[in-house]
Amino acid sequence: MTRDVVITGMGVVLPKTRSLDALWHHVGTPGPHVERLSSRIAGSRIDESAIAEALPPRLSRKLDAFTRYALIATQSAIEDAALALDGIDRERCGAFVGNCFGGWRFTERELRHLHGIGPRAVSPFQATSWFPAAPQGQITIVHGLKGFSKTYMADRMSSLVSVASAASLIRRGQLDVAIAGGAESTNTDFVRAALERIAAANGEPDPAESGFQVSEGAVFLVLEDAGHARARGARVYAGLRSFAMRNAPSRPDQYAVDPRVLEGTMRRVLGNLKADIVLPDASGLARVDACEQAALDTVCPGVPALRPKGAYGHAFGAEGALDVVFASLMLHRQQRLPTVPSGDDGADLSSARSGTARDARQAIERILINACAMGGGAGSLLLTKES
Amino acid sequence: MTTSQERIETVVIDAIATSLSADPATINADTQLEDDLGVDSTELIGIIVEIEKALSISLKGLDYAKLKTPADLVAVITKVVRVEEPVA
Repeated sequence: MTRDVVITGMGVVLPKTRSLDALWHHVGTPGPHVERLSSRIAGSRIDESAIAEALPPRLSRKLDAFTRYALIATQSAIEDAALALDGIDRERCGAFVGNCFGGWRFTERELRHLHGIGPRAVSPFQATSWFPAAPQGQITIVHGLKGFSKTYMADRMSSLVSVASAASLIRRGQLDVAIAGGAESTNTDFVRAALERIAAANGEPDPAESGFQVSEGAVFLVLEDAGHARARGARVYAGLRSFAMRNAPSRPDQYAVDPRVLEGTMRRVLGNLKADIVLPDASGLARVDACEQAALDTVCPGVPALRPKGAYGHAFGAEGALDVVFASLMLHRQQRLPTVPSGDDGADLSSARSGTARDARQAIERILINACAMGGGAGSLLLTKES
Repeated sequence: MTTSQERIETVVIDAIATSLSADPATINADTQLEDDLGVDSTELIGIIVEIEKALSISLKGLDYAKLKTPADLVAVITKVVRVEEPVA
């Protein structure tokens, strides 16, 4: 059984962004959008006060920030899809989450309690708040989903993998509907310290002076079997056509710098097709981005490469899903994202050089998304316009 | 240190209300923690820790399965604190 998979709903929780219109507007607004988050890391962070009322306090206090973001974004996606969960078979609806760091906001606070006061001062919810599958558990509990569900940790590829895996299960007929995306909370001393080491291991000993910028938040999509979506008259943003990933030998703390890895995944998903736009991984690490650019020059020469993530910084576990949202909006609206030129805040990688006014007017049929992971992982996902 | 029965009852109700973000007026001695309030095992640990902090006592070694109501909590607390004799 092979079925077509479409995106019918999208929800975002990002710095200064709670809606799809706000997202579109944000990336087109001249910055600077990023700030210095620590002495060595730049990026953007979510203002918690802006979402303080979004969840019941009894639930909220049990959760790390990344799970709160996930629940809010999931609710937005379900509402955007106009999906009545009571009307679907919840045994055939699952949750798929990408995450990289887990719940360090909660953990950091409780470690301070442990060492400053003692074991009895540690919240009992530490046990359930920290682990990367917490958003998956909460999404399935809150919405009563009983279908196959899974959490993926694959560094910056995490939510590209979660979306692709959900699509694969729908395509094979195991699910009709999936809530898929990613969540990340990076606004902690521990995570920033880890990111400094990652940047240094990949050639950027002073990341604040490089393009390596960090964001956080959650992005979730409602994926459906195309027939299921048609039957309920759902609006369709885009179709999920194909996904490929592979791995090249690389140190655990380093990204691959062999362009053939991404060339392989891009060729695999494109086949004989040509992408109209590429959303690159765009890590902000110069030597890693140079590798990706070399792969793009080989496989997608002259194709505009947009880098809207420059308006936020890289959201790691949520980034792949965010790129899927950017692509879906462009395919649905038939408009290029209004990214501001590089040099303002770096929101555009190469469209200024490879994109033209004619490109901007052309129909957008296919968008290719890339993502990479430490240890040599690389993935590509192809989205298509749906009529 | 001695503590009045009334204070223990107030501390228990307040700890439950605080932990569940609930109105203390909706909770009484016989409210069923699980059936009426939906308290799960992790929340119960949090409630007990709140009580320990408020009364400066240790409640280690409790049989949590037997703690069904605020009255059950008050009963186990009175076994580990000296309760003031009521004024005649």
